[in-house]
Amino acid sequence: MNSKLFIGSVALALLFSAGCTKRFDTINQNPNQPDHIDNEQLFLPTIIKNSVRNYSYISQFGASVVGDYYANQYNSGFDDAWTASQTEGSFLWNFFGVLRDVENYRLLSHQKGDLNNEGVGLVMRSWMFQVMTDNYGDMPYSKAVLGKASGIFQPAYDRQEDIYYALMDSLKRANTLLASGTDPINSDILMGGSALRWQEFANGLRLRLLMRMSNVTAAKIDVGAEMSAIAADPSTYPVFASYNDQAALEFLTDNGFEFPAYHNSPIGDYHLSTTLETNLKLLNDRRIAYFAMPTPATYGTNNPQYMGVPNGIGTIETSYNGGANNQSQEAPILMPVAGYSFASPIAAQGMLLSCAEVQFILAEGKERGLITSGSDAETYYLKGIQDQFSYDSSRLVVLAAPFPINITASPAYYTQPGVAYTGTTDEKLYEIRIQRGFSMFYTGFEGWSEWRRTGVPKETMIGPSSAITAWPRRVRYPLSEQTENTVNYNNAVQAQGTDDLLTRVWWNK
Amino acid sequence: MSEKIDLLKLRLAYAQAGNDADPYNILTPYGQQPLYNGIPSVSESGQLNNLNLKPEKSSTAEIGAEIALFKGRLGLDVTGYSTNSKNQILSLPTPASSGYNSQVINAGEISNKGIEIELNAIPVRLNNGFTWNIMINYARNISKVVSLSPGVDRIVQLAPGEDASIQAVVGQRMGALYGPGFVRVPNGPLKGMPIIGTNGRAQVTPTSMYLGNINPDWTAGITNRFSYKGIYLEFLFDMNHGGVMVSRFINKATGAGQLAETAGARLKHAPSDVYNLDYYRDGGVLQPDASYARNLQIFDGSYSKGLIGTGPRDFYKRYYDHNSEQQLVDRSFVKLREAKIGYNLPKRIYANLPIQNIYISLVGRNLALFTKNNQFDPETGASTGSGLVGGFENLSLPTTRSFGANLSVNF
Repeated sequence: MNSKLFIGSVALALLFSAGCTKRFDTINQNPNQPDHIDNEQLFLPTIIKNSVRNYSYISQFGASVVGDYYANQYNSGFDDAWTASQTEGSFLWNFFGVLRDVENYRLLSHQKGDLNNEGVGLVMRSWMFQVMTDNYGDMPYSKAVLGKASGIFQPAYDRQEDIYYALMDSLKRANTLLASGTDPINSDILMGGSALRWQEFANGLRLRLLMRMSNVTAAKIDVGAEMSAIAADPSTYPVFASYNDQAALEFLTDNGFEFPAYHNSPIGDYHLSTTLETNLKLLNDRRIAYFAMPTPATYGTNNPQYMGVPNGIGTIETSYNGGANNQSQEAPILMPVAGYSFASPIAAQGMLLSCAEVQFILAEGKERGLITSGSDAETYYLKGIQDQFSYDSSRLVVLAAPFPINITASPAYYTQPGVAYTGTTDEKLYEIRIQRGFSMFYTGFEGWSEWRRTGVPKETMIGPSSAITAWPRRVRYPLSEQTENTVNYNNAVQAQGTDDLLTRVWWNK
Repeated sequence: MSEKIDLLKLRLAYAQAGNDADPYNILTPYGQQPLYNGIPSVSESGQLNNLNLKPEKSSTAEIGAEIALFKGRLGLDVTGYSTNSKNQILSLPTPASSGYNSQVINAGEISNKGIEIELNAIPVRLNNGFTWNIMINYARNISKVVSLSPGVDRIVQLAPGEDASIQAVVGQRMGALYGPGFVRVPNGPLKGMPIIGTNGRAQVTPTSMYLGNINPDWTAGITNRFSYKGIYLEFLFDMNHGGVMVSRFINKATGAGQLAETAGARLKHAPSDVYNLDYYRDGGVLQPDASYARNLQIFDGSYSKGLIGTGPRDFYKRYYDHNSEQQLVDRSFVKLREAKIGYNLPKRIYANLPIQNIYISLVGRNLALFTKNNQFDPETGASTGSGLVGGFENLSLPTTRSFGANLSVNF
């Protein structure tokens, strides 16, 4: 063929083909990615995995410091890590990315009449909003995540009070849906497809919300009556029976699904805090070996020592207590693979709500006279302690460290002052709160939230290297809200107070 | 027409062109996630696509003149243009609370006005075959936001990990950089100096201020080519003038004490005192009588005497953190983009072979960079969700210098 003629005809053919197409309906359909999903369960593993892995990762960093479990130079200055440009990922505002999939999951379940799955969607959504609003206070809720459905790209903020009531309604509704649904929850990587366990999670979360707002004066609901209704009727409102039921994600050894800090965490940056050290040692609690490594100086010897570091002192690593050799690093189950060869990708779990926490909430409710039904406070309290010890031991079995870690409580542990359930109401409440603090280790910001509400463990001191004058009471909104949702952001600041770390949220006023 | 003028051409053009979107911007897809224990899963894309997307339409008016003089020894081509783009298709960042990180929109109208000049000259052409060619090009473009789509008052692109943002605001030039900066002494002899607070740190504005534009005022390139018989030597210099950017690297590396610039102050102290002694930032300290006194009082580079001091961490790290003005870097540069030396092999070597020509060359790229900062190439951009953004440097890899050898044989 004459080559010039050939090129000419190809060019002509291209000219005409580029001009028009009859495939308008399909040309924009990506052959590699669906634009339509029929089976809502395809969303559930993403929802659980993405939210819990992120939550678990953050639990170690900012959260462990502000909860005063661990000390860390970078975080406890409350400066760079706590500013608006960092707060999107570090304080879980990025749950909104997961909530996009939750909306798809929830709406599809609702359309199809899949009650169980709709209930699961409500529980996951409520958990994420609870975590976020406790950190930030007022925030977009009723107008949030409506970009696709309603074209709302600058959502208005709701008052935290209204968010709380709405979440409790959602959880109540989820409990009802999950009690009557018959549809399978197939892709459930958190609760093994058990609607009952999701019900337990929903009711436990509602108790958490109720307890957290229990100091609010002029609440629009009767906190005591709501809590009593749950405690009185376990068949309608089941709660976790043991740690085997609780909401904790088991990580995998597969690449990308491990315990999130397993690959990322820098070794030696986080230390046992003096606060946690003091409270554990006061009770001769052997779980100090669960919460922290022996000091490098005594690691591998017959006499392992556990030494904490106070938060908020500038040059922790170089100077405090003779230096890093005398400072305990983070828990053996949290060790990154770069730290010690025994580190495990599956020993730690992604803890959302524990059986022990629910028991301690019931104990406190009972002790304060909020709850008028159910067991007595001491029963809840002891069950909480025992279940937490069992859970902690079970994770050490998974870890299988090459050195013995025995954390079992002796009978004397329970009868000693500080644990034995005796004394005034205030003393008893203090005991419940100390034990609850231990149980909330590694559960996001919950330990900090409980400190904000109760002041236990003791008033945490702000260190000389801190950028603020008191321990934080909330976190800042992310920068994207200031720049991309400016009007609503400004209204929220007007309503709630300065957007800083010291403004108190509604339930903490 | 004078015989000195070989060519004179005037151009006038007006064109209107449609521009369609990339495929798959209409329907929002669901991405497949890795299997969790064998369980399949999907996640909806964080970019909300747009079923009602319209094509972009741009109209360009252009006027140009071309002249060639002295038998091709001198040529000049000047073009001025004005382009108006309507319904520009772009990905608009949205707050995460909407559920989406961005949405694909048709974004109002953007105008581009500019001028381009090209000059070609042969200053030297000797009878022995030595020739010097020079090519210069110059371009200046101003891009402005004429209007944005209803409901959108500005388009904001946040810097990854930092406080700065690039904002497109109606009536303003594209590429405006905003961020927190110094609070400065308002008047008196120290007017304009940063105010040092009672904690020894420079005070930072609580809201973003305009810091400059990321786009250059003009760009230019100069190519010189010297050839003699079969050998030639060629240099290409590129230059940008104007434009600013924020650098995350300078912020982080200064804060960590990794830059040579941070050693100066420390070296003035005994090693045992480096962490104990106070350091003093230059600036103004508010006095009881409402005047300002100079904070730093000796100027030998030691920062070791003044009114209100801080520890080394505050001195280095907090001075840069969350202060976009302090992180600002001038993007102007001159760069030896390419140098090349080549040789056309004489025909007689391959006269008997079916070869038309053979030439070999050595090429080096990015050989030299002249710019105001010592740390990085200001052409670096930061990768964000929606692509590479100039104006932000985000701990990026350095530009590479490359050397190559070419052998080219034409049959």
